Order: sequence, then structure tokens, then C-alpha cells
Amino acid sequence: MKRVLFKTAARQLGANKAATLFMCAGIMVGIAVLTIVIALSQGTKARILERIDRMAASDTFTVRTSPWGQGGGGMGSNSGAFLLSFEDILSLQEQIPGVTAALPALNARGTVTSGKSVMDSVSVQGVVQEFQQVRNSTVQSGSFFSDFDIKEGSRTAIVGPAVANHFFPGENPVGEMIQVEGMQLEVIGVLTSRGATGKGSNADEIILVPHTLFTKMFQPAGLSTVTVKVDNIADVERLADETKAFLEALHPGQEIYVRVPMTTVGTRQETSRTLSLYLTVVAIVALLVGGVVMMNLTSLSISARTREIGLRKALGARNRDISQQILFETAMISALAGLTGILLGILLTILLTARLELQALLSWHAPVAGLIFALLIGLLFGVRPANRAARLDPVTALRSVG
Amino acid sequence: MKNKAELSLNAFTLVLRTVAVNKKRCLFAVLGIIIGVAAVTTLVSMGYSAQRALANELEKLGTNILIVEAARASTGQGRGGQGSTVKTLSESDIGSLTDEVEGIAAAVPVLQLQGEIKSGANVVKTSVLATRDTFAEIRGLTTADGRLFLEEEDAAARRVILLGKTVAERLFDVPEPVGEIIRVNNVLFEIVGILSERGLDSNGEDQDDFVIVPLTTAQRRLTGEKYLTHIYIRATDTESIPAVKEGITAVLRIAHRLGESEPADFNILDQTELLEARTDILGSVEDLVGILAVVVLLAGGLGITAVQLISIRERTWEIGLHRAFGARKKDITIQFLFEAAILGGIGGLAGAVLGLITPLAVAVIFSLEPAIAWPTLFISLIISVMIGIAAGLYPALYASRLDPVVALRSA
Amino acid sequence: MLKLENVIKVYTANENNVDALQEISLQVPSRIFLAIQGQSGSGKSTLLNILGCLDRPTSGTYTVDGADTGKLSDDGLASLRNQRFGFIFQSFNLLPRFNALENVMLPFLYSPSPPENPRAVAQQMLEKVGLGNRMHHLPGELSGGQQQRVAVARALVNKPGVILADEPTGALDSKSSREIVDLLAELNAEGKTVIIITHEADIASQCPYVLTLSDGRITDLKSPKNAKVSQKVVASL
Repeated sequence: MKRVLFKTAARQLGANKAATLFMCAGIMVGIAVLTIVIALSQGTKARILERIDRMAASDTFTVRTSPWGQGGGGMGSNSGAFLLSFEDILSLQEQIPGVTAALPALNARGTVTSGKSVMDSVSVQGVVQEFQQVRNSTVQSGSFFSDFDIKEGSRTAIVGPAVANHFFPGENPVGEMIQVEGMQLEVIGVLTSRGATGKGSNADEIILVPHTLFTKMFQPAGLSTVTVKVDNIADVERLADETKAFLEALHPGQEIYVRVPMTTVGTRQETSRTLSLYLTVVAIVALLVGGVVMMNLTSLSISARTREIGLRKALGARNRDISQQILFETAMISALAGLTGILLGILLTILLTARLELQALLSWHAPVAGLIFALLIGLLFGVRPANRAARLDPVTALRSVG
Repeated sequence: MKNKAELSLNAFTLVLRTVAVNKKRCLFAVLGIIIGVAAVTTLVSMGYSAQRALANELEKLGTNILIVEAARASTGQGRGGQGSTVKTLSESDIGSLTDEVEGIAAAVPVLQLQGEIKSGANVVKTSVLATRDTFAEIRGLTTADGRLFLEEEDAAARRVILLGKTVAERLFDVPEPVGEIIRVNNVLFEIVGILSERGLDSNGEDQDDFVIVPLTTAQRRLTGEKYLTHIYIRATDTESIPAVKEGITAVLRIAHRLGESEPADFNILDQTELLEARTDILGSVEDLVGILAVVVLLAGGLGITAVQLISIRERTWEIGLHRAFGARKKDITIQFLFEAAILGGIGGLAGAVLGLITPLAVAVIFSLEPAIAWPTLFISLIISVMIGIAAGLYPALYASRLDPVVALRSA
Repeated sequence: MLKLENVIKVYTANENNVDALQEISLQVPSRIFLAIQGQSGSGKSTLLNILGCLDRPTSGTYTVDGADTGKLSDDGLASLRNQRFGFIFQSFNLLPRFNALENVMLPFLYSPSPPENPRAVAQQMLEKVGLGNRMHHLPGELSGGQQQRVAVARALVNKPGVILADEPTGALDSKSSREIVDLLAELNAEGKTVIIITHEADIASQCPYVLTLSDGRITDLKSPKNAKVSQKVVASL
């Protein structure tokens, strides 16, 4: 009789390595899945919200020297009206932390000619290097102004697609010459199409020149409008107020007007709600999937261990010893496997985001929740049945077929 | 001698009984398949629902709006403003467009003028949009105060006007100037409503700096012109924007009698920034959903395989026993095939049902548009069941090739 | 009649060749009650497995009633096992989740021509071994002795000519052991060849023929005194 016991039990111990391995694998996979899935979902949600903010330029505010609704908004031909200078802009950028860039609004309407064609009342803008960053506008062919162009005011221009089509339909206008307010300029780039402005006019009817050149062309007395971009959307209102105070301190007696763009609040809220809902569903599903995988494998591995338990009892272990041992082992395995799972999850997340166009947000919620979950599963599906097995008599335990 | 049918029936009955007595083990095997199918389908279906919800949200901002703009005259005449735009856009164009272009939900004419608005000593220079009563709806404009003007007022050329918030603030100190009389290019108008604030656009331009008057009124009182500067169009859905643009181009070219090589005398503007954001956003969701589906399916597949791997030992002995009493390899294979098929079938069915119910239930509860990703359902069904069958057959193939002696010893 | 001629069985385990049986020649006529004994590792289980067509010799011939098993395919052997041999194992090897009756019916699954009413036959067998009233019990609900009796019933159900038992009493107490051995003797009296492996001397002493193996060779054959020549077990030592 004892011989049979020994032979069976000996085989069981060997089987146990596999069973334990499977339980580990189950927990690892379950937690890794949870981590990856939640990180990716949260990352995508953040990315989408950020895209909405970018679309609405929520990270900028506008500074004016005269209240809105007075028309103009560029070079202030109203005599006597107070204007800002370039130095003001530079001081703004340097001295207020949190401000990324300050864009002077140098706008005018000018007449553009090339050959026999004429376009009048075209929006001409003088720009600085930060223009692309602040305005979300990029060059689709050719290139943007170089630092040299901007510094020296080279006779170069970047045109909007509508202007390009008007003068050079079907051709690439880069390298061609146009006249703006009498000055010969070389086209060095074409902007990407922006479609309609918020007011319904054609945003592609535009010409950009370096601000230094703009100054030569239109001789503005100063700046009446500045667009300021900030690092962190959350700080927009605060920085707008700070800027107002700063400029008013620089020019005592003058009033400065600031306005924050109305964030598409409704849209952002709804989007956030929809995505949060989806995230919740994803989390639950991931928990279920991970949970089932963990539960399955833990259960099966414990069944296999029933025979091991029988052997130990046959060798003299008490119920208490066995319970303790099982508890300790299960906790240890769950914890180790869980931690490994988290690491695995993090690694895979990094891999996936590097290789694919995805964004991930690794927070501690998912792994911690997963760990707790794993321990719970370990307890429910591992420790409890193991304790039950511990109470069996050795022979039955040894004979059991899980 | 037994015939094939009898043999199959025996095997089938045995398998049914085996499944019945081994409920726990079979449940574990099936669970993996159910989860694989249900989870993936739910994630993907809900992803689509979320996508639609986001698209609808963005559409409220006007992703499906197109603006047809009268082009500039190629040789400049006159100076400033609309003197240099062509005068070929007319109301009959609207008729042609709505009749002949598919995908247009609504179209409204607009004549844009420069206006000088006076109230007492306050003067404001701004854009005057002369249009129909439906304009506000197409543009998604609402009134913070007062009301929009009515079709009858337009037909009767009433001198009523809607002010943008910025204009109202510049003209009046009182917060509610509804009912006041003002002059527009020296013509008297009554304010019937103040538009809700929309703030600055992404270029820092003030979106509240304009006023709206009825088109007929403008044509009779402010200008003698019958042409239009713009036609605002709302497409039925954002996806069809490119097609609608093409349709508009085709119809207007014919309506304006343009030769093939003549450039168009109009431009079509879309809300490019919005559309780009929309594509980005919806694309992000699509990518996420795709990855999630793969990850979850893999996890499910792993679960299925692991369970079967564990059960190999147990079944090896069992198979050895059957072989000791005369089972041939064929018999073993058939039995396991049946079992895998039955379990796979049950699991797949249950998974499919769950995968259908869950996203529908969630969508209904949270008032999202329900969407079922049928292709995902089928693909994940096929993959999960295939994995289930393969994983279930493997022990059989492995064990049926062992010596019965070796198999029996593995207990 | 079972005939082994120059049978050698070699196992390859981890690149080592284990010679389990070395040139065994043995003739077992029908209706014999034979015990095989020897130390562990002597090759007795291997011999039994080959006799029962569970395993094939590495070289040599094994004929069952004139049929050369070497010429049979695996399926052929399976068929032979099903019809001619009945196995009884030391650890009973009952399917744990099927009841006694179902366990006994197992061999019918693979019979080329099973009886009209398999249940009835199985029931009969269970009654024969004294377990008629435990038909629907699961193995877990039966004592060791009872489980082994179910195994015996299972071995009998296709009415094979040879019963092979590998240490059938190894996991039983002395009372159950005696019951099983008596049962086996009874079966032999009814005309079946019964070959039983045992290491217990007092069980071996109940068998007229006792074969002793050591290191894969037959070292001794004890025969009854008044055995007829035609019905004798013959072994080359």
C-alpha cells in the first residue's frame, strides 16, 4: 500500500512544477493583459482630448490693446491708440513662466499681383518663427521661413492654396515671383489648406511674410493684438490674467484686454464622457478576461496539488501546517506572478506604442487593481479548495483525479 | 460488424456522457472560447458605438458644413471688399444644387456686405450677413436673448436684425438691447435677437463680430444686387463631404456654363481643421479597438491552450486505458474530435450570444448608438473555436500514438 | 495457446538501452493458471504486457492461437486485445467519473460485434463478481476490493479467453486480496487462462504453475506434478 502511495505521490511532485508554472503563467498573462489594455485605452483617451483642445486652440489666449468689436486688430491706424512693441512681446515670452510663445498679430490687407492677374484685399500676415507651432499651420510644399529670412526680412513669401491656385493654377508656385504692395517677393512655400474660418471666409486666401519684411511694407506703428500660447491648458486663464497685469505694469495708465478662447466645452465633456464609458467597459472586460484565465489555471493547478497534499499528510503533516503552507505559497506565487505580469505588461505596452501609432498612459491604477484581483483569485480559487483538500484523508486525496 | 453510423453514434454518445460527467473540466475549456468571442466582440462593438458617438459630437461643431464662395475676378477691378468677386452665384444655383447633388441636407443663400452700424454715438464696422431664416439652424446658431427672425419677416422684407455678442456689447451698455432701433448703412433696423457667444476661433478671430439680416430686406434696402457671395450647405453626413464637393463642382460648372478649361468661378470651403481633427480622433479609436481585439483574443487563446495542456496528463492515462481495452487510434481521434467540436460549438454559441447582448445592453443603458461588429464576431468565433478544437485534439493525437503501456503509466 | 519464441524487449530511456526481456521462449496452452514472480525490474510486467498485446517485442515472435502478432497492425492488435484478453491492473484503473456499470461496459465500445443488450451483459458480470447491488456507484464510493472486482467484471465482459492480472492484490488488504484470488481461481476453473503477476509468495503458491523471472530471463518454472504433456507450460530457461 505504501509503495503505491509513494509511487503516485512522487509522480505528483513532478507534475506540480508544471501546475505551478501554469498558475504563474495564468496570473502573469491576466495582469499583463489588464495593464496593457488599460494603459492603451487611457492613452488614447488623453490623445483624443488633447486633439480636441488643439483643434479649439484651447492652449492660447489673445491680448489686445483695444476692446473687441472695434474692428481693426492689427496695426492700429487709429491715431493715438496705444500699441504694444516687439520688446513687450519678447519680455512676455521671457518673463512669464508657462508661456511658450507670443505671436504678434501683424495683419493687413494688400493687393497682390503676378503677371496680369490681380488679387486685392488679400490677408497679409507678418510672422515669426513660432507661427507654425502656435497656429497649427504647416507648409505642404516648399519650406517655411528660415531664421535668417525672419531676421533679415528677406523678400520671401509663403502663400495659401487659394492664392497659389489663383496665380499659378495647376503648377507649383515655389520659386515664382509675386508683387505684394509693390514689392517683389519670391514664393518659397505653400500652406496646407485650412478651409473656412470660423466666420465663413476663406482661410486659404492668405500670404505670409517675415515680420521684419511686413514692417518695411506696412510700417505699422505697433502691435494691437498678440496671441499667446501656453504650456499647460489648465493654466490658460491664470496666465491670461498674469499677462494682463504684466503688460499693464509695463505701460501704466493703459488698459490691456485679454480673452480666452471658448473651449468647445460641450464637445469636450461629451467626448470625455463617451471615452470614459468605453474605458470602463474595456476595464471590466479586461478584468473578466484576465480573471477567467487566472481562475482557470489556478483552479486546475490546485486540483493537481490535491495529491501532493495527500502525500504530505501521509508523511505526517497536520491540517494546520498544510493550510499555512498553501496560503503562503499561493500568496507568494500570486504576488510574484502579479509583479512579473505588471512588468511584462509595461514592457509590452512600451513595445506596442513604439511600433504602432498608439499612445499609452501608464498609471498605477490598473496594475494595483490587477494585483489585488490576482490575490483575490488566488484566495478564492487556490487557497479555499486547497484547504478543503487538506481536510481530506490522505488516501482519498492521493486517489483524487482533480 | 458495426457499420460506420453505429460507430459514430457510439462515439457521440460516449462523448456526451464524458462531457456530462466532466463538467468542471469542460467548463474551463469552454470558458476560454466564450471569453475569447464575447470579450472581443464586445470591445469592438462598443468601440464602434463610441466612434459614432464621437463623430456625432464633432458633427455638432459643423464637420458637415460646406461653404460655396464666389471666387475672385481674375483681373482685378474695383477696390476692396466684394467689388472684386464674381457675380455668378445666385439663388437658382441653390435650386440646382439641392435637386441634383446627392447628400445635401440643406442649402441657404448668403450675401455678405460691409456694414456700418450706428446706435446713438456708437459706431461699429462689421460684416453683415444677409440670409434666410434657416441659416441659424444650419450654422448651429442660437440666441442668448430674443429670437431669430422668421420666414414671414424675410418674405415681407422686414427690417429686423440679429446682433453678434461683440457688436451688441460695443453698441450698447445695457445688457438687453432687444427691441432697440439701430442704423445699418443708414437704414433703420430693429434688434430682435442677440446671438449666443461663440468666442474666438483657433486663429484668435472673433466669431461674434457680425450681424444677420433677412436676405430680401438686404436686397431691397441695403443693396440692389441679386447675386450671392456664399451658399452655405449642410451635408447629410460628414463621410459624404468629398462626394458632395465633387457634386457641387460638377453642377455649378454646368449651371455657370463654364468650359472645360475655364477655372471655376467659385470655391468650396470645408471645415478643414475640424475634419482633420475628426479623422485623427476617429482613427485613434479605430487603432485602439484593433489592438485591444488582438490582445484579448490572444489572451483568450492562451487560456484555452493552457487549460488543454494541463488536461493532457489526465487524458493520456484515460486514453491509454481505452486503448488497453481495444480502442484504435481512429476511435480515439473521432471521440476527441467530437468532444472538441461539441465544446467548441457550445462555447462559440454562448460567446456569440454574450458578445451580441453585452454591447447592445451597454449602449441602451448609456444611450449610445448600438453597433454590432459582425465581422469581428465571426472572425473571433472562428479563431476561438479553431484554437479550442486544435488545443483539444492535440492531447488525443499525442496520446493515441503512445504505447498503451506508457500512457497508462502516466496516471 | 500463447507462444513466445526468442522474444527480446529493449527499452530506450534517455539514450540508455534497458534490456527488459532477454530471449524469452514460452508456451502457454489454454486453461492454465500461471503466476509470474520476480524482483522488481525482473521484466515481469513487460512480459505480461507483451502477452496481452499491449506492447510488441523488439525481436522474436509472439503467436496467439496461431496468429503471428508481428504481422498485425496496431489496429489489429487493438482488436485482438478487445476480443481475446482481459486486463486487471494493480491500481484498478477505473474511470473515476463513470459508475461501475459504465466502467464495465467500456470494452463494448470497441468490439466489432457487441451484444444486443450490452447493459444486460455488463449487469450480469457485475452480479457474477458479487456487485449486482452496486452498479451505479462511482469508483470513489467503492472500497478497494470492490473496485478491483469491477475491474474483473470489465475484463470478462467480452468473454476473452485469457485474463491477465498485474499485481491485482497489491493495493488491497488481506481479506480483499483473498477474495480476488479466489475469484480468479474460479474463472480459471470455468476454463479461462489466467496469468497473474505477484510478488506475494502465498498467492503464487495457489497457482499450479509459477514462472520466475530475473533480469529479463526465466530462471525457474514450477509445474504441477501430474501435468499432461500436451497441456504443459513450456519455457526455455
